Amino acid sequence: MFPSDSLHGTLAVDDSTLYAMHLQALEEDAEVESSSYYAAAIAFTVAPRAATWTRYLAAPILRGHEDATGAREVRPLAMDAYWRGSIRNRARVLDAIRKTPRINGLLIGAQDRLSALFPESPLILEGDLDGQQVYVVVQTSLDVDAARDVLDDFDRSWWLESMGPANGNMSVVLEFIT
Amino acid sequence: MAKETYTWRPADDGPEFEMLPVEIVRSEESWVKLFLEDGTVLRVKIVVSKVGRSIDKPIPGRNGEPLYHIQSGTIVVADVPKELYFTEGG
Repeated sequence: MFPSDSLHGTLAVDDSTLYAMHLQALEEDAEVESSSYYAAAIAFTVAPRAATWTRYLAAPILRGHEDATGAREVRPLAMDAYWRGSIRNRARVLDAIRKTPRINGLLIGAQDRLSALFPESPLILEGDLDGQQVYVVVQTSLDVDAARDVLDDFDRSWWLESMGPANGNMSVVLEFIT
Repeated sequence: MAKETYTWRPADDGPEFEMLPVEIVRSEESWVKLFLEDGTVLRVKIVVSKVGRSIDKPIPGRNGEPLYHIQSGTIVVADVPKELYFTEGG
């Protein structure tokens, strides 16, 4: 149930909580009041890739809650707002994220870091057949050993310390393109 | 350009195989987590860098299945409880 009273004082509620409530409300078909945050939430939900300003507007909202590992929790539907790459098997990805919502926060972190480490490589989200696993696919033109060296930096600088909340349901995949 | 093959003998007293290098096109870089009775947590990842497939004969007794040869390493990262550390460093 959406707590509509909370909307009257948006400043009293932090951005990520508000955003999560909006998405919750949208999922539950509840009637909510209008606000800029609500507009952003609708934009994400209805036309997630429609405009750059939408992403810009929601950036602070998507900052989310940080836990001890730096993982941030946001709702599955927010994936369209933060994920800049393409998505294969979208329904399966969403299934997996619904089962392990904290993957959302890890995807934000992984995307930032992998984009920096593999600047020329497209990143693709992919779900497994069971809708359990999310793969972050890095399409790289590096050779196997060079790509592994770069990925080793990713593992040691962040992933090994952060992977816990994924419960083993998120992995990085290297795809070697020629 | 045809790939250069190589020979490989898996066992000293076994047959020699002619191997064709096969490119890795996709690799899932998953970590396995092992929880040990002493409180240590090991995270282990197998890293395969090269793969070859036999082209002159199959694995003996396996209905024609070719033999695969991998060059691999293992990465191990240990989270060690403080009490297991030696009091003086090595």
